[in-house]
Amino acid sequence: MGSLFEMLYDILFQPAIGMKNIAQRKNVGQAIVVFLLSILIPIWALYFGLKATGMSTMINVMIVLKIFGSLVMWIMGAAIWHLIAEFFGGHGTAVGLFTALGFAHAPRIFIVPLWALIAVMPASSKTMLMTISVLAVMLWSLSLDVVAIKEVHQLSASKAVLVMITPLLVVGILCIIGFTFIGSSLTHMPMWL
Amino acid sequence: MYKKSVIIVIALLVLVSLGGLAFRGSGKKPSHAEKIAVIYVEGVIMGGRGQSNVFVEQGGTDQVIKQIHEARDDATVKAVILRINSPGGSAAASQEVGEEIKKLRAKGKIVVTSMGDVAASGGYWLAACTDKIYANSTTMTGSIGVYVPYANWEELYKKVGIYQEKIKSGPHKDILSPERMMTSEERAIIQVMVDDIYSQFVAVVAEGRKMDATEVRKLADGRIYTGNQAKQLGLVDELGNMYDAIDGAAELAGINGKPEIKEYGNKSPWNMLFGASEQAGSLLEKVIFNQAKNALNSSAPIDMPTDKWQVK
Repeated sequence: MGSLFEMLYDILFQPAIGMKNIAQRKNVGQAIVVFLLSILIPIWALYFGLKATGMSTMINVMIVLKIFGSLVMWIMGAAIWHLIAEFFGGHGTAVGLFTALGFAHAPRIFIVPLWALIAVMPASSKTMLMTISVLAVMLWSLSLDVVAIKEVHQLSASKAVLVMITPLLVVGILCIIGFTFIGSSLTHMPMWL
Repeated sequence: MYKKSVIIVIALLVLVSLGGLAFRGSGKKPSHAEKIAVIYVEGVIMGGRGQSNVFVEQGGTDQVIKQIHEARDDATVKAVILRINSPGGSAAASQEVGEEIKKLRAKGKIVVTSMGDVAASGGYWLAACTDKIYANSTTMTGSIGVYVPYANWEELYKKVGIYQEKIKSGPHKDILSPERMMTSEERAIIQVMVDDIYSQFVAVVAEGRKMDATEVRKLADGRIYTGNQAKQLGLVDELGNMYDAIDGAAELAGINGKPEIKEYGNKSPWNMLFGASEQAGSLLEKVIFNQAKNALNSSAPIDMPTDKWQVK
């Protein structure tokens, strides 16, 4: 347990060292614990709000969707990024990247104290502050993903970023190609009011 | 040891924050300000509880009636806006909701209709039961009438070799069956029923709009009207959007100042996750800070299977 605390500290405050250690140890069990805590704690905060507002019927669905969705993204992200990283000359292992990406979820727990803090702020600034807090935590988590790819596969920072955005680029290019074909077939359709 | 201490402090901070959010959520006092409730009637009007899954929530009229009851029982609700965006639906379901609206009015609540894109047929039935009707000048409304859809697939069945044999307790037990032609006697039976429901529809409109039944019958040949035409014909009171209807309802209910709006209905988790982006921030804020006065509306898809009896 002590090593888990230390690894969490490293991930949050000295991520490069932390990710390197995690990639070496490949402790999947600890990664799953961190992942579950990082997903469930913010959901717990949402649960109070949903229950209090009478949206109780959707609580279970929300929780299942969130856990399942995050789990799928974690597994698929690790698989796809590992594949791309190998194409870019990476030397890491899939399990190492999977473990490191699990720990990269850790900053999400900070959303709870941030929301608690924003709750006592003036109403006019709440929406903006909440958006900023969510974006900040997401950026932190994404930067840890980049560090994970970089340290596990021993790539440069620019290559790690490229590995991360390659799936998005591929999807974007496919969409542009698709819309180009669809758009050309729609140009002669009448205008609708 | 230092690293462990930092993580423990963070864990405590998270726990305290969770506790604070939970306490804030449970400690919120309900508002006693005078409210205007908004109840949405969207899509095909169908009886029953509707269907709800992750992807869509199809509202049956049981949900609308439940919301009407909630508005009736809430002493702070002084008026109800019925936001209708429906092409019609089942006659029985429309009648059921219409009767509940009348009961709501009998309890002293003001009920005002705000028509959206379309409030025709069964949608107009409901509107006719309210105190005042607002429509946009381009809203499609009217379509006062009744029809029974009937498809005869006899020839198709013969071509594919399907023959359905029935043992009937009476000659008309399988009336409207698609595998045989309707007899003239059966057509007369259905026509009488259509005329009966049509008369009930006309009576509802005449009573609600304070018009003569003969006058209503002249307008009720099944055609649709724009909001503009409907106003000229007396089927609509005012031209305006939902916020005009809210102002009108507040005036009728004697609410001074800006009324508090309470929306009824559930928003599906799918919409909540992938819905319009401009709603996301405020919804999230409402959820987290327990400020949501309501859940949002449900809707029925346009390809929803329809009942035999259509108010049109």
